[in-house]
Amino acid sequence: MAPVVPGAAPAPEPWDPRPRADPGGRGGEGRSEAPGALGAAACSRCRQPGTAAAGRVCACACVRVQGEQAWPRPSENVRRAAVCGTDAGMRSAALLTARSPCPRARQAEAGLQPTRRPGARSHWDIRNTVGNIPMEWYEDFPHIGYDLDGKKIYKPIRNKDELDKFLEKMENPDYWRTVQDKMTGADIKLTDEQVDLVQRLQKGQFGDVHFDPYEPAVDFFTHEVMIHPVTNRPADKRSFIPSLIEKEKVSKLVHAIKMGWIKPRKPKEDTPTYYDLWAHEDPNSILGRHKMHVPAPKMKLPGHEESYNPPPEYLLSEEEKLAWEQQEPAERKLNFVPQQYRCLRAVPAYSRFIQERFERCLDLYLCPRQRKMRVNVDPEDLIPKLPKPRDLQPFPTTQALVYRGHTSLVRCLSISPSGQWLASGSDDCTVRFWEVCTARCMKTLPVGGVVKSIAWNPNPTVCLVAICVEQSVLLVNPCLGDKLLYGATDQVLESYVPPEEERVQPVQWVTATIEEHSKGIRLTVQHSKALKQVTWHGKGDYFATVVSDNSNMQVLIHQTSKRWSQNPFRKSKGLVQCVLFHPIRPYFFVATQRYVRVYNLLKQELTKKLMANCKWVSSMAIHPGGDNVICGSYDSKLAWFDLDLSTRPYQLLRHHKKALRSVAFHKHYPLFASGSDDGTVIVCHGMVYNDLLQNPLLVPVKVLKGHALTLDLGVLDVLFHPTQPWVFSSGADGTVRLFT
Amino acid sequence: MSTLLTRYLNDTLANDVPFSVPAASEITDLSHLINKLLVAADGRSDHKYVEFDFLINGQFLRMPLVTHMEMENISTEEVVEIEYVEKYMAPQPEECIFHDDWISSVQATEEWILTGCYDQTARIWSLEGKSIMTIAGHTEVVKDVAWVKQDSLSCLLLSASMDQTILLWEWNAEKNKVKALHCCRGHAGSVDSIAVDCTRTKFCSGSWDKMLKIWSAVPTDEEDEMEEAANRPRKKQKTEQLGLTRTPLATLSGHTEAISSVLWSEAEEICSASWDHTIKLWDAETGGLKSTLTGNKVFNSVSYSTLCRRLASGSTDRHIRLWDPRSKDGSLVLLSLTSHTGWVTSVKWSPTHEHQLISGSLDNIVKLWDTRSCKAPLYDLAAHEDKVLCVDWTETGLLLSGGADNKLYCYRYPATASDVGA
Repeated sequence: MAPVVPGAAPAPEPWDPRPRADPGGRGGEGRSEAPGALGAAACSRCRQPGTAAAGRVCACACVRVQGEQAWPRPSENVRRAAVCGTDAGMRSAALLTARSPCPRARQAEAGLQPTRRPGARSHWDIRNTVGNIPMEWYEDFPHIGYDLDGKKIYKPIRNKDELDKFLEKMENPDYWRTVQDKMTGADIKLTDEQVDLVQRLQKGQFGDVHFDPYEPAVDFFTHEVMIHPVTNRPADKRSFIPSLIEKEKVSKLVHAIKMGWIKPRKPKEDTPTYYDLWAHEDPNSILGRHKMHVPAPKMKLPGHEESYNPPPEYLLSEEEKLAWEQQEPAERKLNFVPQQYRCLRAVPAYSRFIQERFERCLDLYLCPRQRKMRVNVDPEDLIPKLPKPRDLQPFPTTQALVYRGHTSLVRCLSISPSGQWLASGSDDCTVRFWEVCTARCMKTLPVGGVVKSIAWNPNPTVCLVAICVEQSVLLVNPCLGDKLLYGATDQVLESYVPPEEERVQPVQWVTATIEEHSKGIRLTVQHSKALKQVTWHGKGDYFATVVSDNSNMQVLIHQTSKRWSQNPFRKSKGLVQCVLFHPIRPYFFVATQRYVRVYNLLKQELTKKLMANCKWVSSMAIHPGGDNVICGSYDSKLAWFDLDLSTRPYQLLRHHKKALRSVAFHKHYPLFASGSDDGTVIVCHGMVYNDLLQNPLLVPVKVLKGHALTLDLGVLDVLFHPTQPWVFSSGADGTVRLFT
Repeated sequence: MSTLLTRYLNDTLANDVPFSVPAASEITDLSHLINKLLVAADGRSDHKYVEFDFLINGQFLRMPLVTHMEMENISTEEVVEIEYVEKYMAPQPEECIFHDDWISSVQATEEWILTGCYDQTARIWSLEGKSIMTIAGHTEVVKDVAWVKQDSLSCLLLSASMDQTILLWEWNAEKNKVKALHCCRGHAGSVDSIAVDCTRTKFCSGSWDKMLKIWSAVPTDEEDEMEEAANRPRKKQKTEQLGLTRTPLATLSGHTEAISSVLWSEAEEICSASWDHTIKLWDAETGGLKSTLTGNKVFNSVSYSTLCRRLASGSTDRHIRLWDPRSKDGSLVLLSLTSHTGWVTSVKWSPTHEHQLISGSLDNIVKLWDTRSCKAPLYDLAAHEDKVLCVDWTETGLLLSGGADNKLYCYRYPATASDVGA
């Protein structure tokens, strides 16, 4: 309840805008409230016509517009200055600044009261004591409540009919500011100040005109850190003594944690959780259509004829122009005539622009919206499945033996047909013969020159090795293996009877001297130029040599038994790299820098020309079946030709990092190997099927390392053992290695 | 924790009480245990500490007990029987005999060592490493040697060479004279291997020409007729022949590649290993092929143990394989002993111990194996500086190995240890 301002209290100043202490000791409330939060409130001063006994009553009541409460307030001592004490039971809602006086009411009262003063009672208080009840309860009664003395407060007489009300409404200029006090039923005319106040509150302004919400703030406690304390009071004892209560609390918590009643807080997950908006999206929904995007058909890009200055061949001649004009617009190849302008500035506006835009729109509208189906293919799937190397055993995997003895790079290797002996030619001007299974050097043959090539006679009944030394081929009987065989070989060579007439030969056949004979050399075939290569025919009678020359004398074919040499080619077809005899058929393979030519020796014609697809062929080997050829090249490629398939490589293998020096096929096992300057030998599985429909299967199976790089050269020659899946390699480091 | 039952063959500990030992215990722990038990059983304080080796189901224990049992899939719940044997002592190096060239073959008896050398000679050495005799006569590398007979007066010995002949020599030990009795001709390639049968009257030879030939080892005074003598009169004049020509009793052909090793496995059975990846067993009497064991690598060497009746083969990979020659067509590889890193050039069974063998390899190491421990050898003998080409094991417990470093190493190996616990 709002406190009653005691009647005995000294009357406040008629107009004091400043709030002041509430005499009842509750001043804080009235003042502290902000006016913004309320609805309109009216403080009315009413004049009650009253009964005779009551005389005129002046009271000030505060009416809350919300209407749930209307407390009669004795605001004032009556006689002189009635102050409207509006602090109102509204201590919380606080509508007005406390105790705003109503000067107007006071004036009005001042003007009226003298005439009506009854004199008997100086203080009137028509305060209704019915309390906070719905006033409708008194609707049927003549009175409206009871005053302090317990007498009835009578309702004012309302005997005006509608006409009177209307007339009053028309005549009374203050009709609009007259309100009825529900508690007393009296009409109250609001003063100007009160109207003002109501208007201000309706606008949401402060009730007090003079209240300034934007007074400069007084910084009672500065934000700056001062060096001196605000107070000099010594610290409390309790501030440095551990608190027993806290200790008790902590021990309770500890106990609870121990007992498992309190679970330690879970560490917050740092990773933000996202909601996948599209996770459960229906692909057929409208969103799915966005994914099934069909791009608009593309416009044709402008060509040369659209240029403002097209090349003259695009310009139409007179006849063409005429023909163009006579054509139906739909049939025209071009829908415009190419025209030439001097410069871009001279190009006029395009007259068909709008028309073409419209056609484009039609195109977009009418274009067949067909979705292009793209197939997602993993590129890995397109690679043919190759068998695993371990399923392709046997092949050489580890280095087993090292044949040491040469002091310089070992250029060439050859193995006896039985596989018992190995011959190696080196830059230290020697040829060494090795026992394969123990790496024992059985013989060393000094030949007085760099050995470029060496070839063991493939005929197992002949024991003869052809060695290229500078300008001559030495035919050497190594005297290894079966005594009968090498004895028979000597016999065959010695049984040669020179023909009666002297023949003109490109080379000279010289029988070895006794000294040479003791070393094993039987024959010397002296050429005019330095030699590159020697290779035997499979039967072991013919051999071919390659001379480093540019003329047609590069390749010579010799017959050992007749000591007869011939030059098969009339014309040079380029620098010959190496030659080979076909293992079965009378074919002769000649590898030049970029091509491999296959000649038929019987018909004496070119049968095939293989394009190697590489820059410089270094070596060549023929599959023992005779239908496949491999070529190594200095640009680190290995080309496999299937002669039945094509003249281009069936496969090009690029496994080596540097130039290939040598390639070799195994006689029985489906293996081939290549030696390169990068010091490695790569062994590949090369299966050739008898079935013509099945292509050869090439699988690299092993990289064999072992040779040290010397002078940027690695492996110079590779060679397979004739019966075992073993590969020999000779290197620039002066060793021969056997991999098994 | 696993429980183990030690089975004691030693009389002093004849009880069957299982002992509980920690699963993580190793050989040394078990050794300590056995030693303590022995002391307790003996009741004497002067018991000498003995190191033991342990066998579980015939496999040597080489790692902690639990690891071994996991690898062998032995349940730790059951009682495990562990056999113990006294640890084999390491072979003691005895001699190092220097040769002039690579040593291709070696065979030793109780008194002498016969070696074949790449300098075309065979040599006889005493066990102390003294050179007694150098037998020169071959015109090519001597690839194999063999003793035929040792009497008090004269010894018969054989040397096979790359010059395609085998020479039968008589060596008088007292006078230290050697005489070539017979020159066995007939091979058309280097003779790589010879073997004398148990009656000492025959021998067989395997050659690079893929042939296996059987010869008589009995010296006679007659010369056999060479069949094709007429064909090559020049040859005969040229080479000065040592001894009387002898021709083979029988020729067995069947291998498709060079024969690298031959031996008599039984009285009338020849076993030959070849480069064609097979080991063939021949009946020496009829000359028929009995069975073929097929491998997948070239065989370098083969050895047969009469004690365990197993073949051991060394091939051009890292493995030594044990075969059962009696298995028909199964060509069963019983075991692979893997520890070498190069070709195994030579294997030889112990003549006195059924589980042990020795092997030489191109990785310069000679290894002593026990077949009960196939993962790791008993001992590595790493003395050679170059390829090991031949090994031998005599009945007196001498291990011999020769190689490309021109040295023949002799080791004394205590053969007595082989009987303990076996």
